[in-house]
Amino acid sequence: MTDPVSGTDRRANPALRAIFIEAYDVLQPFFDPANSWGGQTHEHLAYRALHEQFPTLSTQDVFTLVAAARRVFAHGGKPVAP
Amino acid sequence: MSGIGLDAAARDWQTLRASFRWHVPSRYNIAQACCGRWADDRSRFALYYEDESGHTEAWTFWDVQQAANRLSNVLGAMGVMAGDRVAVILPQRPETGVAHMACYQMGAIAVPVSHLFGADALEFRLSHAGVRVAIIDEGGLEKLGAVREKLPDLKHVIGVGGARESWVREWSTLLPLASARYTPRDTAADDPAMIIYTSGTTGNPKGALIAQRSLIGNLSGFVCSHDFYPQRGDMFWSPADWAWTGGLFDALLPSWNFGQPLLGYRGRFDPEKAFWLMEKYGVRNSFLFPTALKMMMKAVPQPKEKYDLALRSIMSAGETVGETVCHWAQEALGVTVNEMYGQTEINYIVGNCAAVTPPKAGAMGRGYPGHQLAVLDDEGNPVAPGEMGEVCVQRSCNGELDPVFMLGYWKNPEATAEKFFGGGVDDAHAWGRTGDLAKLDEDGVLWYQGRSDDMFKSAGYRIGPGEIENCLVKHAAVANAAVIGEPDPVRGTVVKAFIVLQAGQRPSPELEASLQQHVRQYLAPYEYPKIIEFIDALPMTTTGKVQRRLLRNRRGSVG
Repeated sequence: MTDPVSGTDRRANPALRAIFIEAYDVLQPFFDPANSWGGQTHEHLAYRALHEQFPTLSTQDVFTLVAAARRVFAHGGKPVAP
Repeated sequence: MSGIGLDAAARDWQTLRASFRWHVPSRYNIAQACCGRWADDRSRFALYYEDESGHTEAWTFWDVQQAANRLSNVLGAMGVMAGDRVAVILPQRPETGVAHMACYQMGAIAVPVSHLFGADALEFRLSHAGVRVAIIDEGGLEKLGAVREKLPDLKHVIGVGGARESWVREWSTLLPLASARYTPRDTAADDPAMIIYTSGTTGNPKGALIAQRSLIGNLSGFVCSHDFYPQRGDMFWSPADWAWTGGLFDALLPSWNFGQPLLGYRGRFDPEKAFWLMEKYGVRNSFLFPTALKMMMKAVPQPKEKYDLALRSIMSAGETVGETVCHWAQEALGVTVNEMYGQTEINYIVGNCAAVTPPKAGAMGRGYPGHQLAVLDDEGNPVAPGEMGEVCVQRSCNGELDPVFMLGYWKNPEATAEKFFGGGVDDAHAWGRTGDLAKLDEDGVLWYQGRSDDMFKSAGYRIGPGEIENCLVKHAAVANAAVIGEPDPVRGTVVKAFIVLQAGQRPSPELEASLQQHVRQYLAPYEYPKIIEFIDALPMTTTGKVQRRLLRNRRGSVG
């Protein structure tokens, strides 16, 4: 996304952007409301699944990816290639 | 056609084999094959259930799928993901089938464990597999309670039926809170589905890691051994425990794969009760251990005079049936027993199909369609007809990989490598070794000659001496122990233990009973030594290994 004032790309982590589509495929089932217990989805599993798929990611990066994927899923969208 | 490509019109073995090819999709899941695809038909029954008290239930595939969906969601809430291990420590009951479907559809690995196991046997299997969640009923709860604190990977225990403790979450409380919808995981055919522990001749039991596609590899043999199952009105029952290959791959899973119902009965095997159940539920197909058949023959020699039976097919495996029982089944039941041979790692590979060729009494049978069999010598070369060698199965047949093969032994690459001649588990030209000796006759029929190692089978259970010996030497009075199989007119083979006592100890009937109770308590009831002989020293090799062969030769014991 381009900053309208400076004209620069506001997204500062191209490494995460590069793996986002792959990460979304891993994470998407955990947001599925069909899979739930006590009204809660299995989102708590998303963090471990992402760690296992990308073991070099930091905890902060995992959190960022899960949060971004949740937003995309909630809006019924699909991630697009950077 | 049988539904898997077997030609039911074939009237000779060569035609049957030549026309068969495996159809293994790249994406495949046992739960979808056995339940999901049948669940839309709300009138299709999956399971009739009865227990010793007379309590009965009937479950459709839809019922099983709904419960499996809920359980998958419960397991997910407990942190179970694809690849995690879930122990299913349950006898024949509806929750056992539900638990298996729930695990497979989420890509988790089911670890079926017999509810008959004692605390030590339970601890080893759950610890070795790194089990995260255990599902158990009241029958095994006390034993699990004794060892659960030694299992750091075990995070949750789900209690079925009357299994209630402070550290147990109740099935009946957990499932209603879960969604009945579940989006199953898209698994590859080669993904792992379960770990089944097999007894070893030395050391600890080995965990055979079974793939999702392994079920497909069992089907050609299953269909043949039940004379082209399924047919209209077929209804299956077997007393085989659903914690073993025999109960899962020879009964429960193939029945459900074809969308056919089966009967589950929770209770001790009783020959009169077996006939009573067969009559009540109209059982048409059964897998019966030779021991069970012998007991039924002795208890009710003329069953048709007493029971209105609808039996169409009987498969028997685990040991040789014998001519007497075969003839009795033909005359008294009107059914030709199809003997079958297989093992957990490579199941349902050899056997008979009376609908195609009359079985030779006492023979193992021929290689079932889709499996390439050979009898090989110690160097991996084929032996001449009539000569004894090891029964081996090639990893591929007709240019296709044979789907029945296990993926390997869990956390044991050395044992996996030793299981094959001429390559590894992924090598199409490699030969899987069964460890069983046989002769091939001029008609291509295999005749069993015994085990190439010290393992033996008793009452249908595969028993390795190592675990029992390890248990015996833990008894305060025992200095050393060796275990072999001893011929028995009823059970075929029984467990016999040779005991070297600690200094100061004396043999006595009380000590014998104490040793038997010791094994019953820590292992399984069928593993306790029915015969005990006290000796001064065990025959040993120079490298310190017990020479069980010499012990077997003392009184004609079998290996």
